[in-house]
Amino acid sequence: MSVMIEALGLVFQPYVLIVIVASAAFGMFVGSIPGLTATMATALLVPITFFMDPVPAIAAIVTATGMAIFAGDIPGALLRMPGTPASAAYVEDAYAMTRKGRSQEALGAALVFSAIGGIFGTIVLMTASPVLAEVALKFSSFEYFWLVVLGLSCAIFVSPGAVSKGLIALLIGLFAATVGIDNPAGQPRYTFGNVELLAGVQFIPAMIGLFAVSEVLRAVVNRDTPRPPIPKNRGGGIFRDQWRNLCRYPVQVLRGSAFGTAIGALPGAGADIAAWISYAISKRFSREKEKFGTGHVEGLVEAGASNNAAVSGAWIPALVFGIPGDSITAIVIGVLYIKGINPGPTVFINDPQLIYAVFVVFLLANIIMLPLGWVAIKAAGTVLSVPSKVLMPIILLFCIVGSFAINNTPFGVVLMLIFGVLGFLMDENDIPIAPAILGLVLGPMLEQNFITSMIKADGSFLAFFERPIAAGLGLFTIAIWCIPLIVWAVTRMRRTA
Amino acid sequence: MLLGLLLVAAAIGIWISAQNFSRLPNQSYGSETMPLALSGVALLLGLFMIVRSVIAGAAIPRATLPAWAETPGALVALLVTLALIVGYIVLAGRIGFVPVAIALVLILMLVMQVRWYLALPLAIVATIVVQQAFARLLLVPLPRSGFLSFLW
Amino acid sequence: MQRRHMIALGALLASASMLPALSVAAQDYPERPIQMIVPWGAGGGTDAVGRVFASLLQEDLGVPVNVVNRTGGSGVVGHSAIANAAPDGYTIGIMTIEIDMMHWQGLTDLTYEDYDILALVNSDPGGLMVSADSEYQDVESLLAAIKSEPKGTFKGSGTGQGGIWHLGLAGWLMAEGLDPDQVTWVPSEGAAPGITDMVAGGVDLVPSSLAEGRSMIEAGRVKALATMSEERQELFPDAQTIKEGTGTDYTHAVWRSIAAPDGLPDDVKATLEAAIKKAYDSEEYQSFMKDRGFGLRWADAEEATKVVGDDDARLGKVMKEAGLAAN
Repeated sequence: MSVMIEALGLVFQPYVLIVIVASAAFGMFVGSIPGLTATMATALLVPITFFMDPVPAIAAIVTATGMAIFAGDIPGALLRMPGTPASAAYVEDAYAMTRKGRSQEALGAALVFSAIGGIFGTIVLMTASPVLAEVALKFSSFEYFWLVVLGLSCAIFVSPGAVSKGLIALLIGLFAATVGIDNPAGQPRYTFGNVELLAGVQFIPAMIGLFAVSEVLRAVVNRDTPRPPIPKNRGGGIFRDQWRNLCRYPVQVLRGSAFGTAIGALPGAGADIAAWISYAISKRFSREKEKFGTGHVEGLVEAGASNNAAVSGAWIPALVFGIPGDSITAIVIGVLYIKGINPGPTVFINDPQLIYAVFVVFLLANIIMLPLGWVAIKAAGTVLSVPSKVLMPIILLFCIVGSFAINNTPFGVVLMLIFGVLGFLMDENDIPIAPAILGLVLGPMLEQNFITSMIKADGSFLAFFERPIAAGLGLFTIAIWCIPLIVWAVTRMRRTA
Repeated sequence: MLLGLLLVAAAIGIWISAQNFSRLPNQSYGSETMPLALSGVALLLGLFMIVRSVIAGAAIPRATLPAWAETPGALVALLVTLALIVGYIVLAGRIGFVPVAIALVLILMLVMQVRWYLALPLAIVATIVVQQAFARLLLVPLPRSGFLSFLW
Repeated sequence: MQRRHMIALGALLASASMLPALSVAAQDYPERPIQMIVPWGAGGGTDAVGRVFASLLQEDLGVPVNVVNRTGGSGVVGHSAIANAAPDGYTIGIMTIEIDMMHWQGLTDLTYEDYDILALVNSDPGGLMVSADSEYQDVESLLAAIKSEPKGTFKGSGTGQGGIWHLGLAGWLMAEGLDPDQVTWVPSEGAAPGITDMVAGGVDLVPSSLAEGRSMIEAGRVKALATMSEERQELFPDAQTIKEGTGTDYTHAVWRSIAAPDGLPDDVKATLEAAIKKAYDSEEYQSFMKDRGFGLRWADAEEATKVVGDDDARLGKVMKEAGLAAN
């Protein structure tokens, strides 16, 4: 108990609280600009945290990343330009709600259920870290292979429109992911001798291109016939409908939080896969499947809780074993080492008050998200009243700078342009964009885990089913693909009979 | 139908290109495995789409023009926008971020039929806000220029 | 076709933007922010070393030193960015041992001769780690098993194909009189995923530096069998040297150096070298490296260039014999 009081004493100091509020505002700002991500917010904070004590340093990063992940939903809902791949899963629903004049409700749901997911994940982190970390250690390349295939399958099946078009989008993403030298064989592919392409297709400029630039191009060609103005926001405030949503979808909230935490705890799977799997689960078990993708809040509630829970979950292997759960915790582990704290089991024995202080910071960050998010949503809402002919040129400028900033190279802008044209063409042909993003993000993981598994198994496909968890995941994935076929065949047979 | 044909063509293209990739030493897979697998899936999907549309009776592949293509100037506006981005890529490194960004926002606003007396101040303000936010606050090394260098 | 033009255009621009805009009078050096290019990701070991140096140099030189991560392409992208920058002292970078490997693999024409190496600031020996529940609890029994079992029975991981730890392992096997591919290499995206995979039962050993497995060693999940250095490491006193374990004299180490593009003006070079030496000797740097378990090693510009050159020849030989070099 005294440890807990000591921890509270470490956190509730004016300096630490000021750091939390400042980094929260910073995270909001970074996350709400299309193209700037939570990972980038963390990387930018690293040099600043150099001059801080451990607790404020960690507090700054934890708060900023939580905010940035939520803030990624804002451009997604208002402009159909998701700020992170994690928010791409439910961008169609969120944007459709905005077009119906329910932007406040959509963003309110994203905000409230992000906070709930984050708090759920923190509680699990506080109580069950060692157990979950043990399970996470059982995952080798076989299990990850199936998990990636599962995530990709979900993306195809939940995308609006024909399955074949979703698959085309996925293939485009996976193919783009093969560019570069970062493949298991270390051999350059499709680089045409270009040094920048050796690094492959960076997914941030590609995502900006596919979602944001294509939207700008669409506005340009339709300049004479702009979309009808978005109706005035109807309904209550940001928080008013959320109590009703919580009462209506309690199972969804719990399920999203639990799956998010579990997937986040696996080193090598993160908020992106969590959001897609949760969205797919939500649709599969919903009583109103047909409403998904047309501005239905249910999937947003579940996947929104899931991706923030995954952010907390990623800290489980990081704190228990010093294994990064995602790119953010990878940076944080580096910062911890610099501060003379060595993540791993010893940290629980040597500096328990520090670990508890981290937990308190987590809870605080998720609570402070509510008022700050409210301000951000209100402020961002004014974007909707700006006519698109003024807004689009400015968005294009942000796109260019964001694409440049990810690696500080003009090549990012070239990628953005190529994928902008591609996204425009895909949209014209009713090919969904979101599965392409997921393919690009998960393509390297898919290949890496497939090749290494085959090497380990000396080429035997059966090895993919030899380990119990891998077998379970594998059979489940195959079932997802087969059940629709069987259902289709059965109904057809009945009809002919 | 058209998409199916495109897919089959892409599948064949990837399959041929993958022949140049080598395997891992002493392994039967390597950098060619993934492109080959992708081309296989693309081929199957393409054939499936062709067969399905043949059964459905759409015999002749037909390219339809979207509605916007009939509006005068839409295609020109699209090309101007693309040219602006290319222009930024070519010029920003030499002239500097600020002048090129102002020109980009200004011209695109004019294309979008914003009045010039509104577009000019908006372009300047937007550029300076973006420059201050990224170069000062986020330490992004945007291309500098002698012109307006006090901003940095 | 259009796409390829774009790419060519991009390459052109990338190089155009790096042309020296203005040559600054050298006496005033430094008078504007300095860029420190790190060819590896934020949060990693190289990034940490880069950032510590950046903050110390900033203090000494009185201008901001900004760390820029230029990642990807197995380090080729970042190393190219350092070499292609203007040699005016406003772009420096952390150069890692990969510069001695990638030209042998045919990925680039760049070699260490394209840089002005300012100093060597760190060196970490390779190690040999197994899972704690492995049946081999010392190097000798592990080596005996590798020798007696058929080729490919054992699997190792910890870097990509032809990466530095792959070479360390291949070099050791060759020194023991075995084929370099007696242990099959499973490529991974770094030491951490390799170690995780080893604990999950995916591979048998990881030959990375012991510092990279420190948290798992302390957690009792990983056993450090050996260090590929002349002497045992202070932080891991139980890990034998290879010579103690098997009697073979074999060492393998990676280093990090600070480098600038070739052709730095002499006075700029002198200013930077003095500032780097001062930063290296500072209490902050020394204690940071010790806390993190990184090895300290200093070599001034001349000596560093020799070390880098020697490694270039040594690694080239291993890579050719292991069939990992381009023809």
